[in-house]
Amino acid sequence: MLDSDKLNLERIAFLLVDDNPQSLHIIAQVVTGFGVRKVTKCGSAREARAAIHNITFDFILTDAQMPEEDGYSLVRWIRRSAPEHNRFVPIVVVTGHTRQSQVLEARDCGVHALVAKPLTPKVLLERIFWTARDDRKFIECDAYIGPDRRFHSIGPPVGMAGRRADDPPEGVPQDGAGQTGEN
Amino acid sequence: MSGVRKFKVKSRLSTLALGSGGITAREALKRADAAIESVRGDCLVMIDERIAEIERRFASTVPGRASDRFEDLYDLSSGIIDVALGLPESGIDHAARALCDLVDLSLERGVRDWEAVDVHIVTLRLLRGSGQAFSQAQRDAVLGGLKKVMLKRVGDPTTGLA
Repeated sequence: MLDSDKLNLERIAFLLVDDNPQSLHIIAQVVTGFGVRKVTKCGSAREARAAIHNITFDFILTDAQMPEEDGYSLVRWIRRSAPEHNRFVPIVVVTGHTRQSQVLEARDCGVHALVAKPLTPKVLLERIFWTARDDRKFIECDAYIGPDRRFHSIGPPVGMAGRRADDPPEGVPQDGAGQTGEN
Repeated sequence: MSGVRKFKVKSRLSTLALGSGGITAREALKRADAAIESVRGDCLVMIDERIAEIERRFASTVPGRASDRFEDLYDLSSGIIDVALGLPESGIDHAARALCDLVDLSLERGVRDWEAVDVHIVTLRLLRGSGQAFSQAQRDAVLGGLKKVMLKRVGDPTTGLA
């Protein structure tokens, strides 16, 4: 993101979810500073579900750690059961600390990006830019619904046939980079 | 559901945010910084409250700390990370995250290393008072010390290995 890059968030509908009222207030202040006019604040996943039924959002930012239901569970629900108008919305999860037991959940819930707290305005703006430019396909299967977790698909190793219909042709040189996960 | 379906989704975020009009990133950050300046004081108060509660319940001078709810130490420390924006470039968020790692791994293993907890609590207090005045090298040294304590006394939080 360059200082001179332009972003127009005036008509973007934001949903912010955080059980901590202070955190919610801080993030709302930040996105309002970015020019966002439509901000819906929810203090729990339950409140968020109700809002998601009634409003079409363009971006969802949710805290990971919340009592009763955490942010990962909320994202999983959105990807699988939310109304169609919100099922594929860009979602960023903000986490203060990820417990060992939640690492896989964070990877598999179907989120566009995970961001560590404290969430600075610069990091958040960069993530919004990045998400707006993100052109990854969505993957839908039994185990996972969400954006493709491979950021670059450079095909199977040299000398091996690919297993996927959209794998690049055999023999593409491998540099070891880009394969960030499996779907 | 069977098989894998891949498809493109056109997001309104892309269409609207990258369309015409809007403000530059520089201007957006300037406005956001001004907006959060108004809540910085509140964040500092909350950081102080949470450190004070950690000390009141879990410091070395508290006789009954072993019978207190250890999980609350995680929540209090996590609460410091939530509002650490109030004390930027102090390292306090890293120290709080290290304490979360310590509690998380301790709970997973069913162990309590109070000396390791003490070091983390003292470090939180130190960085609250002087973290912003420290050089980056000094902060790195303090936080590196926490990492060594964690590795030596409890294990590696990135791998879970002792």
